[in-house]
Amino acid sequence: MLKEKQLLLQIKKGNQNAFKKIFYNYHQSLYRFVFYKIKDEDQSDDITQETFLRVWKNRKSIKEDKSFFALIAKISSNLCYDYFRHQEVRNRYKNSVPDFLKHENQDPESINQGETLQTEIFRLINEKLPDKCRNIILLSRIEGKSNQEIAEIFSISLRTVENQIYRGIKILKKNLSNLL
Amino acid sequence: MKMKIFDKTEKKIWDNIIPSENPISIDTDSSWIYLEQQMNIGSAIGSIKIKDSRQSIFSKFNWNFQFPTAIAFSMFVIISVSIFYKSLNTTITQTENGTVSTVELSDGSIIKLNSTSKLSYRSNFNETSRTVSLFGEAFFNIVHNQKPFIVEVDGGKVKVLGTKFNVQCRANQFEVGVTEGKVLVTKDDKSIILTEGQRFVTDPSQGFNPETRAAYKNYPDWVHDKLYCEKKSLRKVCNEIERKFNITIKFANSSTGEKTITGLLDASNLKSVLSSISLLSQHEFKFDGDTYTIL
Repeated sequence: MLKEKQLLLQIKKGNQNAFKKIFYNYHQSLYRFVFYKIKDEDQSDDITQETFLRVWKNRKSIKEDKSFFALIAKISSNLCYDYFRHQEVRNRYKNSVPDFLKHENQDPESINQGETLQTEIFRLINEKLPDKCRNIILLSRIEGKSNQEIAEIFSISLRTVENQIYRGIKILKKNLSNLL
Repeated sequence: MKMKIFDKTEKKIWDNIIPSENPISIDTDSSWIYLEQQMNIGSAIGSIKIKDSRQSIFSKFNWNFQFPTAIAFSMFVIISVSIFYKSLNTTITQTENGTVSTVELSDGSIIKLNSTSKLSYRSNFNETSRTVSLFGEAFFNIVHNQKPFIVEVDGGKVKVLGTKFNVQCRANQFEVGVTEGKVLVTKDDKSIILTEGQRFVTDPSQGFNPETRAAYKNYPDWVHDKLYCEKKSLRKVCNEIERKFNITIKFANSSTGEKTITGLLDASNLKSVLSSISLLSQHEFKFDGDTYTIL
């Protein structure tokens, strides 16, 4: 992560090559991260793009000691929030889930229980988990990062990563009691 | 998990935190190119300073050559000049008055060249970049690929990844309009991004003073055999007709040329376009030999 700090310092000075490097490091991860929330490829692409553009425009206020991924995760989360608020997709999504669950109640044996559980977990992760907790769990499960790597990405201790994961799973478990 | 052991239920939840649908992997290269365009818009407007790089390179050189160095240097010069010469091998397509031509480039892009226009590109087109030069007017249908496509015009350029757009660069008129995708227009170190349905019009003699207007239906007009006039002077309208139909139009009274007309005219044949103009401008045409005169 020492290298990342160097890159961030160069970006602050307006070095486009340093920004390009960091863009290539995080672009794919951030895109999947946003997609997990938005479920729309074009919108996720736009939000990912806008996130990096905002970082570049505000490069002078980058804090090189802080984690870069935490920064872009936060900016993109805000953009996702704006997107939901403007498009009211969230409402449509909320309406579509009960239909799915209703279907399950009508005929418990015919549906794929795994899929329902996954859909519900997806909803809870996006709606119930605190940002920090959500980011850590997604990096672990979607990006396949080790706890040690996650600790480095966010500049936090390994212990904190483990605690956050455990805490997140507890919240999910509490909210999933009817499905398990 | 070493520290805290999940129970069976928690393990099940953990295993199910995988996306139910995966996104198609995103193309980081083209995303970067597009981001770079947007990044440069802010900085291009901020700093219009041009560094003279030539001077700094030469001042760093030590010109005290030893003999072997001199030989190596001269070979280097010969090789680089020959490579440079090869890259200068230019293909030119030119249209006369009254003709329209279609060019297909090696990357599959198709360019429709309006009358009295010139398109040229070097033999190294599509090797590292895709650059063409244009004088006049052309409609571009560009195949998407990693290398940015650049249209150079007098004093400006248009940079895209893959889209459909029209560029016009003639005396007193630089116009770019986009029918699909996005393009970056640069002129005098300043840039602007145009998206689908937007049109950029500027007078090159007046610096970077663009008006963005909505592209009209059937844009660009000439591809659809139309003639679009938005408070356009009769002189400009007649210039376009002269080019398109290879005729000469004169004004009996030169001040008539400053009158403006507005409308989307059918330009599929000379007769219909002339009758539309005479109706809109309230002036008659007189035909004499091969010259038309506006009375």
